[in-house]
Parts: sequence; C-alpha cells; structure tokens
Amino acid sequence: MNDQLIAQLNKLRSETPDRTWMISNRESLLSQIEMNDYSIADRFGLKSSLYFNYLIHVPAKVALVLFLLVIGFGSSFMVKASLPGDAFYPGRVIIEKVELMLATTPAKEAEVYNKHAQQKLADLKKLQASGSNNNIAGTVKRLEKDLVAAATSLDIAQAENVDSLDKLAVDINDNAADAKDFIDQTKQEFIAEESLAVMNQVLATTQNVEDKTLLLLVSMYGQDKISAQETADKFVTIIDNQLTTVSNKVQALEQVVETSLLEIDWTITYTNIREAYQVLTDAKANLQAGDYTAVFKELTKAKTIIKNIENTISNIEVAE
Amino acid sequence: MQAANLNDKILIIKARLGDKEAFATIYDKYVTKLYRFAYYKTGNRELAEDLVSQTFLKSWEMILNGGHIRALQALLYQMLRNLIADHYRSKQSTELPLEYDIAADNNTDDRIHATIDRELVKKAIDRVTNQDYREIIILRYIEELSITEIAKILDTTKGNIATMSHRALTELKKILKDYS
Repeated sequence: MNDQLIAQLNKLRSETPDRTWMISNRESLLSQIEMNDYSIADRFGLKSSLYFNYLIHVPAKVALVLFLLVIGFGSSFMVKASLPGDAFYPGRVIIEKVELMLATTPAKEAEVYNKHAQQKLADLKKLQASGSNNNIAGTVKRLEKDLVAAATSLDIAQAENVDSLDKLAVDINDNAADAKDFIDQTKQEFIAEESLAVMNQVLATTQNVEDKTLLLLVSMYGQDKISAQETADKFVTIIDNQLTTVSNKVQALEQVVETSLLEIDWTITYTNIREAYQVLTDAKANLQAGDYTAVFKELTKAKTIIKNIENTISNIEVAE
Repeated sequence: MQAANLNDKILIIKARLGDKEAFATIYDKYVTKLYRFAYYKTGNRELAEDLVSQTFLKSWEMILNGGHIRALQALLYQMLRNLIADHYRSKQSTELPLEYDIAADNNTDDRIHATIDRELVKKAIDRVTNQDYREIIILRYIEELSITEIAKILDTTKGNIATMSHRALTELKKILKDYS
C-alpha cells in the first residue's frame, strides 16, 4: 500500500506550470529587477566590515595570522588528546562541532557521531584509570547523546534509501554494547544517588540504541540491501556477545547478592542461560547449513531469553 | 546535493555582481518546483502563479541587499510558505479550497483512469488538515526532497521530519481508505 501510494504521489510531479506563463513571467521579472539601488559593498554585506580593505594589505597582520596558525597547529595535538576537565577540552568540543558541520549527509553524520561516541568511551576508560571520577557522569551523558544522535541519523539515512549502511549499523551497535558494558561495570563505583540515576538512565538508552540498530539491520535485510547470510552472520555475532555479557553479569551478581533476601531463583536463571546457549549453537549450525529461516527463528528465541534474564537482574541493587 | 548548493552559491554571487542571467537561471531551476508546491497548497493555478512571482521578487531583493543565504532552495520555499500564509491570513480564512482546477482532458481511456487516480490523491492531500503534514507530503513524496532539505525548509529537526513523514503518509492512507 505504501509503495503504491508513494508511486501515485510521485506521479503528481507531472503537474507543471503553464509554459507561456513561465516565459512571460521570467521576462517580466527580469525587466522589473533593478541593480542601481544597491552598491557592490551592499550586495556582499561588506559595509559593516570596516577594516576589510586594510587587513588584506598590511603585512604585519599577515604575519600575525601566520603566528596564530603556528600556535594553533601546535596546540591542536594537545586539544585532540585532552580529556573532560582539562583546560584544552573546550577546544575539542569545538572541533567536534566543526566535524559535524562538515558532515553533509545523514550517513556521514551518523559516522561522525559514532566516532565521537567511540572517543568518549575511550575518554571514560582513561578517566576511570586515572581515578578522576568527577567527570565520568558528565562524559557518560555526552556519550549517550552521541549514541542516540548516531542511531537517529542512521535511521534517517536508511529512510532516504542510502546503501551500504550495514557496517555503520554494526559499528554503532558495537559501540552501544561496549558503552553498556562499561557503564554496567562502573556504575557501582558511584555512591551518590544522583550519579547512579544518571548511569541507570544512560544504561537504558544504550540498550535502546543497541535494539534500534538491530531493528535497522532487519529492515535493511527486508529491503534486500544486505543478504540473508550477511544479516544472519551479524546477528549471530551480536547475540552471542549479548549472551556472554549477560551470563558474566549473572555470575558476578550471584557472588555478591544475598539470594535469601531476594526472590531470585538462580537455578532457573542458569537454566535459561544454558537454553539460550543451546539455541544459539543450533542457530550457528543452521547458518552453516544455509537455513536462514531457522537461524532467524532461533535468534529471536535467544534474544527473548536474554531479554528475560536482563529484566530479572535489572532490579538487583548490590550493597556496598 | 552539495554540488547543487555550491552551484546556487555561485549563481547568487554572479547575480550580486550584476549578472541578471544568473538570476534567470535560478528562476528556471526552481520555478516548476515552487509552482507545484503553491498549487498543491492552494489548489488554485492563478494564485500559485502569482505567489511564485512574488517569491522570486522577494528573493531578488534579498540577494541584492547582501542578506546571508545558506541554502537557496530552503529560502525560496520558506518565502513561498510565508506568502501563502499571509495570503490566507489577509483573506481571514485558513481553510484552503477543496476543489482543484481540473484542466479539461480529451485523452484516451488509460489517461482518463490515470487522471482519476491522480485527482483522488490530490483531493486526499487537500483533506489532510495538518498543514505540516500536507507540506511534508508535497516536499517528500511529490518533490522527493531529502529529509535534510525539508528540515531546512520547515526549520525543524531531521528526526521530527522523519517522524512526521511517517504520520503524514498514515493520515493520507486513512483518508484514501475512506474514499474507497
């Protein structure tokens, strides 16, 4: 229905203005327009720039520009290597903004946002290693913003029928998964309730980004932009990683949480994990055999089990 | 897209330097698109022609007085939108006409069927009450502009346009279902 309707709407482009009107109106416009009212300076908006003429002719000022360029290049390395909280960090923020301005298509924007998200994740790891926890919550928020923007731009690029977005979708998905893992591991270090709330909120967002990029891959497959084998291959890897992460999380939680206080049956959780691994093994076997219908069925099942486990453990708070 | 924008910028500079032909090229490039937008918004051929003429005159003034023009296409559509809004405001009626000027057709059966379908879709567009949705239908699905270009014209975010495109199409489908 959508395709038919869009095709019908496209046909409305055949509506054109009357040719005679077009020509006569063109002539009439050209005869009406006058240039004399405006000077060349007016036309280029140069009147306000009082020093324009002097600047380009004064060698001393050219030397000053060169000096500033040398200083600029010298400090650009420091700007790029700066971390949140450093004196040079605002410069890095400006560079990021310029990079975004230069990205002219949604696909390029998604790529830039994803690159920024990747850099922020690297910053977070450095901040954590150096013990500067003060800047972590703020950086996590900026990471969230970049990831969400990357997924939105990717969504738009896909709506505009841009090809070859699968690699970018997988990259964003990987970044979201890495971010999720990092926040999950780090959030317990934040005792302040406010910071913990930020971490939990960002955790939920990164999960959404991960799911959204997965859905995009499915939709690309639906539109024949990527082959069944490519899609299945990518999904097996992604879900395999998700299962390993959730399984590690369960093991870590079981050791620190007093089960008696909570109504959690770890046996059921472990049975679920085993079942998910079995389903994933079957999916891998079917992938080898080329039975993609079975692969997607099994992957959906595995994903549902993982989601259930994540829901079970999401409300567990580990006491310090 | 980027090349088109660069071409526009070159044309603007030439026009500012006094080259009237550069403005004529801008006219040739955009007149049909703008006319179609005005026609599908107003449903009236003469009014559409008049509003498009005014748009070009206004844009010429802006080019000549040195105003900063980032994207010419977006600017032209924005000017036209404002002129359409002003027109209906001055008429003290925001309701757009329901009937289109349908040119007399003496074509073969196939073309008559095609015309009927087209008229049905045109009427359905006219029944889309949300003006933003209607503009998005025209710009996205008739003119096939990108989400980025539409966002510039309607001065909103790309995410918003993506969401509204989907909703606009859903509303149009609902109206067409009522017809059938």
